[in-house]
Amino acid sequence: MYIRVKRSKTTYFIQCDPTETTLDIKQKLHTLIDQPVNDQRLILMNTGDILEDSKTLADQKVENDAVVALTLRKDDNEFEDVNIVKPNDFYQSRDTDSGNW
Amino acid sequence: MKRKDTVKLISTDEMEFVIDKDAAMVSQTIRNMLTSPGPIDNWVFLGGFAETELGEVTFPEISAVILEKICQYFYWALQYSRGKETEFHIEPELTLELMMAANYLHT
Amino acid sequence: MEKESELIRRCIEAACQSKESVEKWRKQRRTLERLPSHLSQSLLRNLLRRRLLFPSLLEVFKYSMEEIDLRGENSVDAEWMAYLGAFRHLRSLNLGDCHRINNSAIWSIVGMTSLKEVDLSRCMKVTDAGVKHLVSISTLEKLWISETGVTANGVALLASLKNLSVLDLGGLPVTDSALNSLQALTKLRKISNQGALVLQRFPKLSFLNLAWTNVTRFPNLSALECLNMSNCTIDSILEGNGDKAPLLKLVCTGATFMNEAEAFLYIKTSSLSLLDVSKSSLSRFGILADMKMLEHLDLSSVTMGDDSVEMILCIGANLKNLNLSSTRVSSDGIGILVGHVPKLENLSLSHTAIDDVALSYIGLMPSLKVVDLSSTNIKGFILQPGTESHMDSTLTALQNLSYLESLNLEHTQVRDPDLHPLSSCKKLSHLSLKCASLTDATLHLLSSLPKLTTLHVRDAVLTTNGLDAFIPPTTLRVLDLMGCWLLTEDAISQFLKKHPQVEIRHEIVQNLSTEHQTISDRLSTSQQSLKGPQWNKKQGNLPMPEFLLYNREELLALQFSPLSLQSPHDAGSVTPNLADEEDLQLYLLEFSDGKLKTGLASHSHLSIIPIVTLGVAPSV
Repeated sequence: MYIRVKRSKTTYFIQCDPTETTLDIKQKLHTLIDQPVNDQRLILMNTGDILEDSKTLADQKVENDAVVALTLRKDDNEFEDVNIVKPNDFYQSRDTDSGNW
Repeated sequence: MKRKDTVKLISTDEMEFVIDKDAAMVSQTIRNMLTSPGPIDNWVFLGGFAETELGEVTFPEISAVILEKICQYFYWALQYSRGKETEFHIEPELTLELMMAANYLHT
Repeated sequence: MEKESELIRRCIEAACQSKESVEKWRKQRRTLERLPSHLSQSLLRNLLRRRLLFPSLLEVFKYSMEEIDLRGENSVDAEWMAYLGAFRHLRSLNLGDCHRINNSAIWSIVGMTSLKEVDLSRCMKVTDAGVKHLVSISTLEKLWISETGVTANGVALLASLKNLSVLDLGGLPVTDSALNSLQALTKLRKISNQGALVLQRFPKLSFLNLAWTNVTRFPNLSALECLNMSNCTIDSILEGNGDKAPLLKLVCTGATFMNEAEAFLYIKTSSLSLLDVSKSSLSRFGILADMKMLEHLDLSSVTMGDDSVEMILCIGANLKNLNLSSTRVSSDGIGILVGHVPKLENLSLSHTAIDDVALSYIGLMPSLKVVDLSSTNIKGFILQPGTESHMDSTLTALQNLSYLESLNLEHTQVRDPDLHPLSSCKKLSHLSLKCASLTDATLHLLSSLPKLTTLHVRDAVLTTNGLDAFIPPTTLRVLDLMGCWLLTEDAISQFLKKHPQVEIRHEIVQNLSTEHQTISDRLSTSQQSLKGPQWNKKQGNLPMPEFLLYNREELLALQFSPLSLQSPHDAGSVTPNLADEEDLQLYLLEFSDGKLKTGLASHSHLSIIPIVTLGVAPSV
């Protein structure tokens, strides 16, 4: 399976197994973004739950194609808020030009 | 997962999608970009990234919603080729744009 | 057009899911404007197929569509045409067999600027007034108006279409003067028409179709390469003083020759590579003698016997395809051919009187790839003279054919053991069998053919267990089991589950795909699918299918047990004389998925016996 980890304008497609732990995922992210695992926080978007390092993905109901938000530790040692840039609203942009159809 | 095994696809609205190279290779167009030697027009190496061989491809014709769907399809196709048969749902409002992107990417 | 990718296919499927899904994308105008033409075409084809296309929806394609094919769509009328007239990039429009198209419908496409090809074949309501609209499309290069209501006057109008290169006027009452006026069309290369002397004014004509016309003779056309005079009464072909036409292909199927010697007098027969005189009146074959280049020869349904085979001998050197089906040729005739047809790849002898002796001759034709022996007297064995019991399998001769790819033995009398030699025909990819004496043993035998892709085993006594035990060659794609009446729905769906790459053809599969059909519908589909010569409903000459000779209990036993029938009469107690009982009914009980189903076949419906499954149990 894979999950989609999102932060700001970037989406990381991470291949994984349901038996892997949150920490495993963070280590994979570490190789991609150079951020230590301790500075990462992962939040399952459809429930809002913060994923715990020691638990497996299956335990925390993280399924194939799930969207997981990534937040990083700020200078003041707190984690930033979830920040995922939404793409332009596809449906709206397509329908506005309905014009004289 | 190593950084050099991934590729970054950038949509027209500047959203970025980092995916495994073998997933990206589902697209014949991207496969050609990744395997052909020499610089390719829309194959951009950016400063520091070039050293780590993190490739970036910008698709000025493809919006983020479609590009994300395309990436999802790449992974679905990988799983499918390994014998895992799941449904790939396509919202009807995405069908036209998606088929044009698929046509361009030879997916 | 390149093959659609998997994702495109899925997109088109999702787009054409329902009316609602169409509504979701039909207003995406900017996207629709950019849609590549081949995607538009796929989308339109699928909408048509799903019955989701209606005139105002055509609007969405007006920016992208270059070719549109609406052949045979009965709903296409003037309203559709009004939308099509706005397709600014349309290059090709096919409206063949759209019966609602009339002159005023054509008015909508007046003045289109990119249109190059229009097909109005068999649009019977189109007349000369419609042609007046068409001539406004000056870009037209190809026009098909065969079997429309256009007259000579309309044809004369076409002279103003200066870019016309292909014109099909088949079946139109054209006059000499109308054709004269077409001479202005200097680009015209191909014309299909009721011909006349005037044709010789088209010196560059290379292709001529005169099928179904009243032409009996016409003059020399020195550039003509392909000529179709099917179903004509032929007096003479290409008579004239100039050079003989270097004809390459001559098709005269169904033609009547007034005088055979004269008919071909003016043709340079030595250059012909294809001659099709099937179903024609040809009876003397001396004309073949010069056709040294001939590769394709079709003599099917011609009055010809073994004595005429001699004529084929002298031209056998290059022959690749030879069709002698429905002739009087016998095994002796085939014997004459041996050694004279080194390149023969395709031989059809169906519906002839040949028997097993012919097989030994066929085995001596080294290049054969495709052999059709259906509906012949072939039994698959020959009794050794003197030893009544010893039988030699005659199909052994086919083992010599190392290129054999396709073999048709339908409607012959072969039995399981006779087919054994086929297992060493390693290149065989298509095999057709249709015989009520074949059983599971045949299926088992054929599983060893490494290249088999299409297998027909029709009307055979295949059992559920037999199908279950059958391990198809990995190459197998189509398994046609039509008329194998013992097979259950369960057995077939089990097989499909195990071998999803194989497409099964069987009455049950048809029924599965139309589950919502009512019982009466089912009855009629079963009836239809079994229509065939041996299922003739006429009581008088009805051949009794073998399974009718079993009583109900035996039938039930058969259904779930593998068996190999030596002969119908070996099978023990039989219940003959079924034909005497007017209202006889046979019941087959099928248990599948725990549901009780009752198969019924009444005597008056013999043609539906094998696979009728009904939901209601009739009273016994």
